[in-house]
Amino acid sequence: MADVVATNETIVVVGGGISGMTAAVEAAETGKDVILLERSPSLGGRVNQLYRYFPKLCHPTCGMEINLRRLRGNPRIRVLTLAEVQKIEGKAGDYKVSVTVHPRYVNENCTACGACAGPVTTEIPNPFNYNLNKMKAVYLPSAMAYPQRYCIDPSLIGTPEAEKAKAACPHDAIDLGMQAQKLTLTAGAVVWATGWRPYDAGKIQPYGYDRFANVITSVEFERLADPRGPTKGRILRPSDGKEAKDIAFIQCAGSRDRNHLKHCSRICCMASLKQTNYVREKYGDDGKSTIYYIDIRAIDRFEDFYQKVRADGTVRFIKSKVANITEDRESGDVVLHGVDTEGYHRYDARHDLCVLAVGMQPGADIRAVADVKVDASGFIEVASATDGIFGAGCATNALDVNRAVQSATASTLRAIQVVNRMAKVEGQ
Amino acid sequence: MARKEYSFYPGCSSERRASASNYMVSVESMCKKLDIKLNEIPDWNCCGASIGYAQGGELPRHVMNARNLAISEQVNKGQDVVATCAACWLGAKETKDRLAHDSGLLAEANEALREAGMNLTYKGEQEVRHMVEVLIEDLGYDELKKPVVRPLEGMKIAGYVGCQTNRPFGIAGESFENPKYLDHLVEIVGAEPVTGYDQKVTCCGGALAFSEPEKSQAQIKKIVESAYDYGAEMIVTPCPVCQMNVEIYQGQINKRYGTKFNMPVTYYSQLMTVAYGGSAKEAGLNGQIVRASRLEEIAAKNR
Repeated sequence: MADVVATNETIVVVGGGISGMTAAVEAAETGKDVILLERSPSLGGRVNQLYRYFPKLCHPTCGMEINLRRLRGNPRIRVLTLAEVQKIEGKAGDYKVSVTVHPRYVNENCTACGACAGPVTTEIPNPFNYNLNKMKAVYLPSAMAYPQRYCIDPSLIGTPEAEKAKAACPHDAIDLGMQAQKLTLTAGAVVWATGWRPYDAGKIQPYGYDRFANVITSVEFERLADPRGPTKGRILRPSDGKEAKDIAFIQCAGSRDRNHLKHCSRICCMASLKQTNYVREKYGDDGKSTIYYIDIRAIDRFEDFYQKVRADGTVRFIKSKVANITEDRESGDVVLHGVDTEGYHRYDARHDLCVLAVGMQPGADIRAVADVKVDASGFIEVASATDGIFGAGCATNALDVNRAVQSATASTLRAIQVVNRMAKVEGQ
Repeated sequence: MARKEYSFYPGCSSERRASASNYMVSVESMCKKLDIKLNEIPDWNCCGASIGYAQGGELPRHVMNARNLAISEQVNKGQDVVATCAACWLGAKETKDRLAHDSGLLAEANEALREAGMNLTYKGEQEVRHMVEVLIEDLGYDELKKPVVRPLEGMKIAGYVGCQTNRPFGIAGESFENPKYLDHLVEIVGAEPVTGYDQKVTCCGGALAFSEPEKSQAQIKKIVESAYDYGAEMIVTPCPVCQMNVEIYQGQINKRYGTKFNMPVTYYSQLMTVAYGGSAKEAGLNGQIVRASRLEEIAAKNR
């Protein structure tokens, strides 16, 4: 890693999710040198944690695979994982990006054979499954992880467990003495693509996410539906492992609410509509989905998708902002209380499981490292794009995958323009 | 000099012979053990309580509280105002909040004080705080634990928070749906809290206990029943109205629903007084309708 070469014609992309990967690939394919920085041990971001995309309901692994192939095949892209940006200083054409690269304790010799994890028994929460289950503290972040290289959790360092892992490795790939490294990268332009994170559902107190096992979030539901997830694709509710067949979806959970996120997170309606398909896929006519909504925002050309779900007899729509949720102590069922505004009927509706369609908020605060304007929700204001730092994807707004990729391509074009301008100045 | 000093008013429910006079007795004992001095606001008046919202009108309601606060500013300079009653705290805190954000209302309130012949101007210099806030924030749980000489071992107690110390202001850092400060206080005095108590913020019915007994008793039934379900032998609360409603209607509820409720309902200050070594009398346990026998037994033990 010592030999990271960067010049003022280099584009640094921060964030290795779908937006950052797109930006990196697009820039490199026009002949620019790119350094792609990712804070976690693997590229892929939150898209990799989805079971299926809307509207075509294909698997994200497919799109990821194409992107990874483009990325791997391009010598102009340098990927650094476990890399965290500390500071960006300078101006367009001349940035200094300070980066800390955290130790993985596993080097390039790793073949992902998994022998190191064999003797290890210590377990830690699995962030890939939103901590719904545990994994060994020596792990491959996910099946689609890039790089395909194991990691050792820092909590193991100095314990006999780490030594066991080292002894089990047949490729001399484990280096327990690895230290954090500080790098300063030169860059002509920066693309900031740090994505989003789900709103902290525990803050929506009347819904009891922090108190009731069977109130979960939409991102967690993705993991339950995924065959690679903690339940191997079975929709089992957390309290008792029972199959959840009657599922409530609450829209705008934390969005469009002055107590929480003021903005519309734009993707959540489509996400829940999509998830009713998972219920149908698993249970056929025996499954039951109920969507509690303020209004359905199936933006743009997704209206068609919405109409199809509307026509599904197993899906009910109740126009209501749920007031609160209580738990039936005996059964663990959730009981949703509120008023159906179509007819003004009060309801106390019992369900097996409740999925909160949680909103999107920025994944990282760019203001901690660079002087860039953000809007009231913390998203980077595109118009403010100071000379050479450009927001991309969900760092700029609540976007679906399609729009995030478009945004990334647009930002990359701006970054390329800056770098080209620099090249011209130097050529004169 | 005392460790802490506060400007204070007990409110109507804690007056002599009123329903929560035993709350006052126990607060005095507790404060003595904790070396806290409460300086009563002279000639304090009603906070407006529920009547102020129902018929009193906005200005009179705020003038009532502004008067208490203005006297406090004059007499107990530099001290925070502390209320033991949840309604007093809520009313006074709301007034302070409103008058700070509405200069027109502030001018009117001060004019009313002048018209009443009081040589007073409300300035908004002092904070308005509930006794529980003072205990938790100024002393802290560790300090509150130090004087415990008679831990309430073996008792399981449900912390019933109610609404007024909880919404809309709440105790800093607490969740509105699952506030835990009473559980912490129960732990500190050596008893076991009911951590899963799911009716801890259910409304007790408030003043509707008089006008809508059926509805409020349905609420109270849930509150008491859930405490029994979790194996609690006592309910503890920070609010005189909660205490009154949840305690005294148990007999009527038993008639209405055929239940056999007999659950003592006490104040946090009574638990603390007993745990700090006070007698049953010092803890005001003689003011209970449903006797807190276990607490009395512990209070009768030698320290």
